[in-house]
Amino acid sequence: MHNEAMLSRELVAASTVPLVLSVLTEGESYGYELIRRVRELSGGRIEWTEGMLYPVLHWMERERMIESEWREVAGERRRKYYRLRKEGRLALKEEQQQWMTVHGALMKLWKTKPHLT
Amino acid sequence: MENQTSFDLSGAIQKWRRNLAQSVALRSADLDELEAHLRDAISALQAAGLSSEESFLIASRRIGSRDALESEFGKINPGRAWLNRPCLAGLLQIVTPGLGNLYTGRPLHGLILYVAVQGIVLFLALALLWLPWPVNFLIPVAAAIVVTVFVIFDGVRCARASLPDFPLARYNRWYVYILVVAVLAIVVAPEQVLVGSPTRAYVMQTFAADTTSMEPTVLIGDHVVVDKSAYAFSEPKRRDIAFYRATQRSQTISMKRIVGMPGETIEIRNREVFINGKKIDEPYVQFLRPSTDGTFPGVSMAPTIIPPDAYFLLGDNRDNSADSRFIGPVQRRQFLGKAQTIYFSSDPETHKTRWNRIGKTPN
Repeated sequence: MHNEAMLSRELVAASTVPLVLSVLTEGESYGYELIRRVRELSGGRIEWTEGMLYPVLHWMERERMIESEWREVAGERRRKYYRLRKEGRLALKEEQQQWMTVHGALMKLWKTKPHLT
Repeated sequence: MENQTSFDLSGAIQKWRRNLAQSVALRSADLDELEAHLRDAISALQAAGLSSEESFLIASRRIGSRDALESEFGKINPGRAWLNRPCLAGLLQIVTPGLGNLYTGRPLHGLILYVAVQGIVLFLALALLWLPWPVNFLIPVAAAIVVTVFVIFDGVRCARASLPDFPLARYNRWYVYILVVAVLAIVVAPEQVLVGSPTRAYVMQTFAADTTSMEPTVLIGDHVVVDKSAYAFSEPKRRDIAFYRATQRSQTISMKRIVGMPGETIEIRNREVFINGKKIDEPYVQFLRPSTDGTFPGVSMAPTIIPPDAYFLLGDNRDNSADSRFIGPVQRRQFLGKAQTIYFSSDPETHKTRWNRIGKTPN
């Protein structure tokens, strides 16, 4: 559980929304698929308690970042698909700027003082 | 593949779902979504070679315990989602039946409810006008309570059924509701700005007497049912107590007795009313001043010809009434309806209910 390679709970919580928004820019998706995609992208180091994703998705829907629709793709089970909205793209742009700010600052610090590590 | 062992997978999934369903924070749409997720996860694990029992155990553990799910879903749906939305839907139902259904994304349901309620209201109004006292009063009151409770309950039920997802449709905007109410008000009747009811506009309405001009027939504090259909199907008659607008578009509504008919010549000689030169009998009238005071305004009036399509109205309290003697004849189109029944009465001074007046027909 407390594998050092795993993302901390705090970072998991903070990164859920930008991760969901970013995955949805690749096209519409459903909860299980979103989790699978994030696990794959992070090399298994981002592990969500799967049921917890849904309240976040519902909250994002209420905030109009995404919209959902129950649909049955031929030959598969009925699933709720989520799709990015215009507001979601704007929110993602903001998230990107903020994460890049943190990322940029840390990168500068770590590049100039590599001995710290 | 799912039947490779004796483990009852679909039974286990049902049991898992029933367990989650006990939580108030999880609505059936949430459970559908979580179940689809569980089944996807189980399929993937089975495809990787696990038994259906192992797959179920791992997949359900990854989704999380009921307590954990309940607390997370509960955060997203605080009171707002499963308390206030039904409340708001119920309140909108009171403003206009069906508006709450519109709010919960059921516009057709709302329209049907609106039409149904207006039909019932019309029916009750007719019962009020045509049935004898006190049945005409008791049935509509009881029915109105039942209908109101049902309409509110229906709105709340619709709101609950769509929770917690509650997808907002394109028309879920505050100005849409204002527009709906406004359109109803205009279609139904301009003066019914808030609660637009066709029945109220065309069949029946109630007014509280606020002047003494019709005493002793109608007292201040008498609440009178007005039959608005009366003059749509028949002509006004002499001695009718009619409600009319001060001008055709005015919001000021008065109530007086019809004394002179279109085309007649009316004259008042020291309190006695002559129609076409013939004195009429007025048992309903009341005088406040001594009969010797011949100078009081309105005590006498020169012969006047009432125009066609107009009526001459006088208050029963003849010495304290602003009526046709001063404002002229009233046009037919100014009429609202005919006084029907006193359905309630309370003394303006003591606020005590005057039970003996309730149910009386003023005539």
